[in-house]
Amino acid sequence: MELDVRIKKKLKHFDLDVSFSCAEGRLLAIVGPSGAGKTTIIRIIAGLDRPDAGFISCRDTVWADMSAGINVPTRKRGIGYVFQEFTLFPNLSVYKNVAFAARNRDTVEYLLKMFDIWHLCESRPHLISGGERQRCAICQALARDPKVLLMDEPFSALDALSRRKLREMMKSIKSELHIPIIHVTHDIREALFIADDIMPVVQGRVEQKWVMHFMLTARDFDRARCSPTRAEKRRDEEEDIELSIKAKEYMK
Amino acid sequence: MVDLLPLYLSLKLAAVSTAVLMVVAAPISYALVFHRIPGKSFLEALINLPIVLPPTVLGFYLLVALGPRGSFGRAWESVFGSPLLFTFTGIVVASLVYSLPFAVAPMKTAFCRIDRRLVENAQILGLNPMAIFFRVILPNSLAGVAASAILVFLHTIGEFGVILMVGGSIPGKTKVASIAIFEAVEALRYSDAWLMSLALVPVCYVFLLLVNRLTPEAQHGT
Repeated sequence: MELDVRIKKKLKHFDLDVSFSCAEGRLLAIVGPSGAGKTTIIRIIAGLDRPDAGFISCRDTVWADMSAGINVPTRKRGIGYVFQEFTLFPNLSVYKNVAFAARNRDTVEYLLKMFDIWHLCESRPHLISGGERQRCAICQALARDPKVLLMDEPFSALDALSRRKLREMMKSIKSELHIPIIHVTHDIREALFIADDIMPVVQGRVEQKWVMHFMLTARDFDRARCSPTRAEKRRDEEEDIELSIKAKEYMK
Repeated sequence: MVDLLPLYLSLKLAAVSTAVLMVVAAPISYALVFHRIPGKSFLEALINLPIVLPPTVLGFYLLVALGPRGSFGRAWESVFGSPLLFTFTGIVVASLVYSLPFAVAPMKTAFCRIDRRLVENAQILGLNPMAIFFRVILPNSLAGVAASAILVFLHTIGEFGVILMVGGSIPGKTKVASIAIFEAVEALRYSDAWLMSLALVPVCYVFLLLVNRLTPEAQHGT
């Protein structure tokens, strides 16, 4: 039950041309700088954008085959999508947001408890923290038992602590989901931490050699923008060493 | 004793026009905001035309179109067997055309304020366009829809020129409050004009207050 993607699309500054696949239970991170075409890739998989050419299939079902004129509408693809910023329905409580398109009530309760937001059931989205909102968004996406989970920089709008917590949560539950997960991020450290496979994208193309470059740039950027405490510094350095080893292994 | 029938007719006309326009304007506003329509700017200009046209000009065109020689009037008569001009139904049709921009504009503004990603999220969650409208767009733009309803209601109460052209002044049928006030003044019955005008002021004022409370600018204190 794989997700197969081969797509081409002419964008404003470059042509997007990528091919990849992702097996069930695996998390593929698409990494790259801003404007590299990462979000466009998952929007095309979701059916929110239309490719100029290409083929997308999941579980032997063709979602798009531009040569045959097939482009299944978004609502019929059965996907889960977590947006970069909060897209919960503001008029509904946390419970109702998750139950919005859920297959059954038991799933809603199970997910809310698993993501530790059961106690917020009755709260409206604007009354809970960013991290809680994003956990609710992940629950909403998973509640309809999706065939694929797409995540578009889901942790980028969160503070460091919430980001770390959610990364760990995703890492621990990804194998339980038994579906392909595509995670878009510009943060190579995040990708190295949670992903099984990494696909660096630069100017609309897959560029494997950029993994190490992203790693170093991200580290320098993180150091430049914040003034961490001594404990945080030590933890970051340990994480850097660990991730550098991982990146080098990945490059082999 | 003041005749309250024109006041009742005004309120009835406003209520019917508001109810019909809410149903008509909602899909129009939805389509204008969320769909690519060929000739969209032409359509919008056509909808907004009653705002800039003198009511008598609009009334004249409606008189011709709804009359027995007009295509709409003829079609109506052949289906329902009765004419449209100088009837209550006739003035309802006229006021629908006249008040359409006042229904569409606030609704369109309210729909524009809805984050597109909410609509995309609803598509991803499997909703069809109709379900998206009723489950996402409408509940999240209730203030705009209510403001639209109140504006249409008030605008219809204040109509004069178009109603006079299409409906004339038939007591109990088309003689609404604004026409009755005009006639009272012409007949030098100032006390009647005073009383009817005074009855309209608090109604309009309370509804306008409601509009102000419902518009986002007022909610943000700007």
